[in-house]
Amino acid sequence: MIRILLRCINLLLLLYLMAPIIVVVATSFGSSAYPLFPPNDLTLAWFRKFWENPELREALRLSATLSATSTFLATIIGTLSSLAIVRYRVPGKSFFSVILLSPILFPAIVLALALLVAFQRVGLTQSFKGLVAAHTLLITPFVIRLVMASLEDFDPSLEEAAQNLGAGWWRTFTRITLPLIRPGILAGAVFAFIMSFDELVVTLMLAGPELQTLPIRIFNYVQYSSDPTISAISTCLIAVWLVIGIPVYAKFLSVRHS
Amino acid sequence: MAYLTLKNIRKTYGSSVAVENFDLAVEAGEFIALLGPSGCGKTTTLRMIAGFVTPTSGEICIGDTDVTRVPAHRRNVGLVFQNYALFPHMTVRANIEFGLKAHHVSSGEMRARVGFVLELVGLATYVDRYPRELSGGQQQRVALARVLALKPDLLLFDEPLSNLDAKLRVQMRQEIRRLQREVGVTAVFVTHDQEEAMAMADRIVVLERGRIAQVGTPAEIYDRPSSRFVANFIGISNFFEGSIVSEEGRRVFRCKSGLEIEIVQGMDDKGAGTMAVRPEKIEFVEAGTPHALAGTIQQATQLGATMEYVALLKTGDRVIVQEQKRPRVAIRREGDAVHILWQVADTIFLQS
Repeated sequence: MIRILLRCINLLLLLYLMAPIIVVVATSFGSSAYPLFPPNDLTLAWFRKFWENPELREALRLSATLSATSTFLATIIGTLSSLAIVRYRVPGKSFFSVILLSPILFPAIVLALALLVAFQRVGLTQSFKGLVAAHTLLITPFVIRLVMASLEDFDPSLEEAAQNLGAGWWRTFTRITLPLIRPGILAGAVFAFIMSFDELVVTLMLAGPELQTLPIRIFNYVQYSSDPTISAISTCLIAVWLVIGIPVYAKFLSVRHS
Repeated sequence: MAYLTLKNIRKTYGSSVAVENFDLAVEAGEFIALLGPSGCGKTTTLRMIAGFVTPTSGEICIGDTDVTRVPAHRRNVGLVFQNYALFPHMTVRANIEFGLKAHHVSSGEMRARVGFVLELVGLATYVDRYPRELSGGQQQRVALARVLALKPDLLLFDEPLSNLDAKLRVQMRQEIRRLQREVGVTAVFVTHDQEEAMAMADRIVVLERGRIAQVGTPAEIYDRPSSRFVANFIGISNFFEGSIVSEEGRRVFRCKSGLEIEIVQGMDDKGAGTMAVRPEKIEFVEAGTPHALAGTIQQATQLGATMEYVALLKTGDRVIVQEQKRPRVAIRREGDAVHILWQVADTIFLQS
């Protein structure tokens, strides 16, 4: 009895979580000029409109480049700093790890203002470099957290065994440490990419008129237009997420049953 | 000329001393056990020989080479870890090849050595398995094969049997000893299990709080412990505290309780100290036997092949007696009146 009840609650919760996604996907295929649910007629027109809109395409390209660059940097920096935090006796280690994770803890708007003030001084506002710097700062903590988690599962005697067998630090790192923490790094990178791709608040503050990322374009678009092009973009993003994100999540971030 | 020499090794962490005054010379081909309770410095010593810990002072030599400052990966010393430390993402073959590749062994030679060591440990058919697909004992053998493939100058073991069940542990003791003899390599084995040390080692080094308490063959350590700590740590002993007194022309060891124990020549001038007797050296005798001590059984415990009794003497001393279960020997019950006796030669005098 209780089991059935719990199952029902689970189902309702799932529906509640999925409902907006279902609506968005459905409306992107509808033929009416505004998002209508359920759609009365099916069409791919909004996808074509998205693809034929040069501003949106440029925004997609910018977002992809920005997120990829930031993710690349964040993955390297994050992996190295989590190695330092977990492995070595750094004086003031706990202080460092709090500082490194602080971008997660601060409200995005506070961080955005702080970065705006700081970047104005060094002339990094309204530049791609500035956006990369800001995004890297925002997403590195996620890489650190996930790599730290996999390092804490890592048995340090494996590295000692490698040295004992004659491997120097480079061979030990590339053949033993790196392959064993790779799942954590990969999960961190995917997570970081999604965080960066999705980022609006900080980007809005720092980006000039020349640097409109996809979230900014979407944000602006919905202010004067209500056709389902936005739904089409969302559907594309959800599709990408389904193909890349979910498998990585399922593999590395789910509750482990060992 | 000793093969492995540790000269006046000292290791401190801040103000706490892990190991000090450690001098040891190990002969080529010898199997040495470092034995002691946890925190006695045995693992620290092993890690210093392996190169993971640098001594604060002192010198470690293997053969004629001073390796004190040589980094771990440049010492040709094989270490078998307590948890085996097999690389989980590599097959048995890749685990063994890892060290050979680091030493730039040619691929033909590599294949030959992998085959040889797996044959040696009896796992030739397991080359393509992953560590998680092997039992604890098999993982242990792979760990051993992995270091043997490098033809190490020295084999080190860090409590390698503590994760195995009792039966397998006894089997692996003999297996490790057989392999070590076959290869003829010098070995240092860390354990807290005195039985393991007794069964395997040529010589045992007993450690107590970072210092060597005694070095000797298993028989020497057991029969002639040099201190109360050693006598207590290795096997069980009955201890009697008192001093040697001479009166009315005879010399005896008189305990604080009033119990008097006869002594042998040579113990004469040692004064106050502790007398130790192993429980299996004590026998039950008929009432009226000269020098026998009278008491009652206070506790009788089944140990399987032996019985362990606690006898309460008239003087209030408690004596542990172990007796083999044999045909026609009755098992004693609590409350039985008994007389116990041991040979003077079986008493050990420990100076305090």
